Amino acid sequence: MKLPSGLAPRKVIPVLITLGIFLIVAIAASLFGSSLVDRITTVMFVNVIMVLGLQIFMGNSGLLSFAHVGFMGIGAYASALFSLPPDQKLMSLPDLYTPFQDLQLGFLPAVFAAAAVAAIFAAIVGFPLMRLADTAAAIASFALLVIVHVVLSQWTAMTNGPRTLFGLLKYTDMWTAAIWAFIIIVVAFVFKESSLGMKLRASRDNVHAANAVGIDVIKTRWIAFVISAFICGMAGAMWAHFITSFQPGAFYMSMTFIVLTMLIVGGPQTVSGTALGVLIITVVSESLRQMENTLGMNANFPFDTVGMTEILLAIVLILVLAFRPGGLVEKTELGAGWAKRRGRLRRQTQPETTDESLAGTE
Amino acid sequence: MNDILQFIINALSLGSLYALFALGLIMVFGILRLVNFAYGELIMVAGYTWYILQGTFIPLVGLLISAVVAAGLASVLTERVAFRPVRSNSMNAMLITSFAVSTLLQNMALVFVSPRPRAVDVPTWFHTSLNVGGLRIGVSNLIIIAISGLTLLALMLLMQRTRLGLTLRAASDDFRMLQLLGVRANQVIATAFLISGLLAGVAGFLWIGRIGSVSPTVGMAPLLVALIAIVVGGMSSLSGAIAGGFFMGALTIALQLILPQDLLAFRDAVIFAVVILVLVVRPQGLIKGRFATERIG
Amino acid sequence: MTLLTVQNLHARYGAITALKGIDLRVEEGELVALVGANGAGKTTTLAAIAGAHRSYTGTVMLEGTRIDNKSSPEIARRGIALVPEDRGIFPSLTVDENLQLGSYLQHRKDQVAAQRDRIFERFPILSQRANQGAGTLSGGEQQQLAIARAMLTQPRLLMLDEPSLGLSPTLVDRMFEVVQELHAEGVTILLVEQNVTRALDIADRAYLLTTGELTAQGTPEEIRASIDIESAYLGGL
Repeated sequence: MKLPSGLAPRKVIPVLITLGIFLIVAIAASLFGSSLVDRITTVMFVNVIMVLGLQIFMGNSGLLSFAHVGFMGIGAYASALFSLPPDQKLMSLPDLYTPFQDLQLGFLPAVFAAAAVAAIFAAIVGFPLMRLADTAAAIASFALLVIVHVVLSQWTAMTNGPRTLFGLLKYTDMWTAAIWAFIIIVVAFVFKESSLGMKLRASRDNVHAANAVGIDVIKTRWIAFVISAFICGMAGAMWAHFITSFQPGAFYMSMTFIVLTMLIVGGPQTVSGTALGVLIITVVSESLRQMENTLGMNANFPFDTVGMTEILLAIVLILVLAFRPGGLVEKTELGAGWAKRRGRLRRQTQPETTDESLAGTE
Repeated sequence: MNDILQFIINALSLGSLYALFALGLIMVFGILRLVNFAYGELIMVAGYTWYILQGTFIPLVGLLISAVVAAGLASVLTERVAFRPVRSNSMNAMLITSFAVSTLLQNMALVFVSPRPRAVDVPTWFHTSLNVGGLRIGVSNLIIIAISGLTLLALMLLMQRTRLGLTLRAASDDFRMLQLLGVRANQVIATAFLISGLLAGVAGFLWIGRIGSVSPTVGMAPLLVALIAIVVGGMSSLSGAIAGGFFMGALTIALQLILPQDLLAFRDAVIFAVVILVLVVRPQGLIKGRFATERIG
Repeated sequence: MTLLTVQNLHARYGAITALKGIDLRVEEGELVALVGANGAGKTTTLAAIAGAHRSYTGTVMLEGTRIDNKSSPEIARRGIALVPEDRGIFPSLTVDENLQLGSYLQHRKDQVAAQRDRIFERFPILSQRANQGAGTLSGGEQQQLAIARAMLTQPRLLMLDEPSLGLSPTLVDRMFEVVQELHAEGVTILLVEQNVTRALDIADRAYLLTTGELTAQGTPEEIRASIDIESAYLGGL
């Protein structure tokens, strides 16, 4: 039997390894049973979705985007509009336009509708942006983040303005987040190996060569941008239904910093690296947060402690950029190198049992 | 007539401040093609220097000088510690580094000072106004125009009349060639960061005097203004940045007069939409100049 | 002692190998031509020697001192000047300011003034245009400015990358005259040219570079002979 090339061991093993790691984390967290661990793990899985959403665009295209946390915010607010019960809307969003007042979808439809809103927005604004190169693209995406932030914090009728939007139902639990994170991990791997992902990676490595072999670079980037905005919108919606009350400030600079840190430390060019980055940064920052709290209790400590975690994370990020700019898992997915070496070894010792020759006998 | 004069003075005052912000940002961009997201935090450093040193024996002018020097040193320090090790890596690495430096400095202010805004002692005469033939002119506006004007003049002299200015201009033309003539990259870049920091210090001191307090996020608004100004100015020349700064100053004052209150809230969104539009449709800037996306050096 | 020695120079751009082991030397006072077709690696060789292209392996020595791990400013300070293919003039600076940057490393004002006088004698057009923006100069004038600026650095070795590129026939003649004059004055020159015939006419020695490898070296006559043989096989250079 001939395996489709997409199912070659060096492609499948990294997916299994990544899923395995996170499955173990999920099981361990549910066995541990503390509400703090449960909360941290749930947020981590939402972040896996968010950061992989960003990786699909940034990792494969090589373009820097600051805008994706904005898509996350759009997803969060849109899902609130779609899912808040009508009587709750009267309290949370008193000035809401009439057509939205009676709108109420279930959890999953609301999540997907919200993700679609983020994707449609990205499709409209993204088309001109994909023409820009390097610095101009980065500045434009930054401008986009500011625009989304201003609109979220000023469109009082739809978002309750800069004040907290409250009253969302808590739908997301740890296993919901985990299962969606597993699905997105697979999606990110499949995207990377798809023809679209390959074209995008070709344009990242050499945009002129990609153009020369007939790849429509702008269109390819644009499709990836829309897909990744959809996933980030989903992450926002899931996050919103876990936290249940939030402000526009949640989707701005500090969130962008955390998301970028996870992506860069893990390794933006690899899916397993990115996912691992989320895990590592979650562990590091939550441990630091605990130390922060302990120190904060200590009356003798002369400084405020809130902010120390960010200071250390920023230092870690700068060190990684300076000394390992590709991230922890730079180019070869976790386990792929091992699978490749093993495959080569097997072919060398038993040439007659390679996939190709077996396929010929059937 | 008086309204027009009033508008001109307000626009000149805000515009000259914005021009300084933009100049500080383009100074580094011109040479490294790096948009330094940590630029706003240099303004914050100037503000906190003022806050910490006020109430001592140091007079106001001394506070100004200290704040400017502190911002300049902070800028050089960030270059040495964070940007230099990353310089040979990709453009994205540099941009993200500057974002990380920004977060680092903001949170240091959070930890070592306070998350809440701290008032600076602005002398009361700063917010009075003079009556000149029926025209009320704010002292703050006059001082801002005077100091910014002098700083602009000093910078122009430095850039046009000195050997240092010559190397900086050459570096933004073709950094690789400048190195082939024996000019050391590290020196040029460190100097650009120093000047950028000094400009942030002067403008930041005036800015913080204008709003009366300093907080960890005080640099955000000036950074955004400077970013828009340099994009509008074409991202290639100092004169473009200055023009962009004055344009932004005039636009801000004009929109405050024209836009109704509920739309004013969306002003920044509109302005940033214009930024994206400029980048896409007219990358050479609204005013003049050329745009270089390649980074050299 | 040999002024410049290059041994076993390998260079690559990403996955593409540009140079596959180049050995060459330039003696004090020589005019050495490095000729070859477009894409043979001539520019890469010069860029590697000048430290502008850093991803290479091999040895580069100036008077027996290794300079192959040095950055381009350090190499320039040791006396190697490169006039790049694109001329590298600073377009937003005036002609005069461009020349000032040539004298960047010289600290004695009287010497700088004397050198400038000599440069203006050789390139009178530059003195007429001294206060004009360098970006407004014609191609030939820009080439003169680039060479003049390189000469102001007082180089031990002057490397010229395609000085005749994009110039009209009369200007090409003038450019080769200038190179010959500089050589006659004792300037050591490493000249890269696509215009093989003209380069061989003025060179003391030459190297022929073909897709990253040296395929011939020796006197201009020997190179001409080997080119004839090669073109007999390959149908022209």
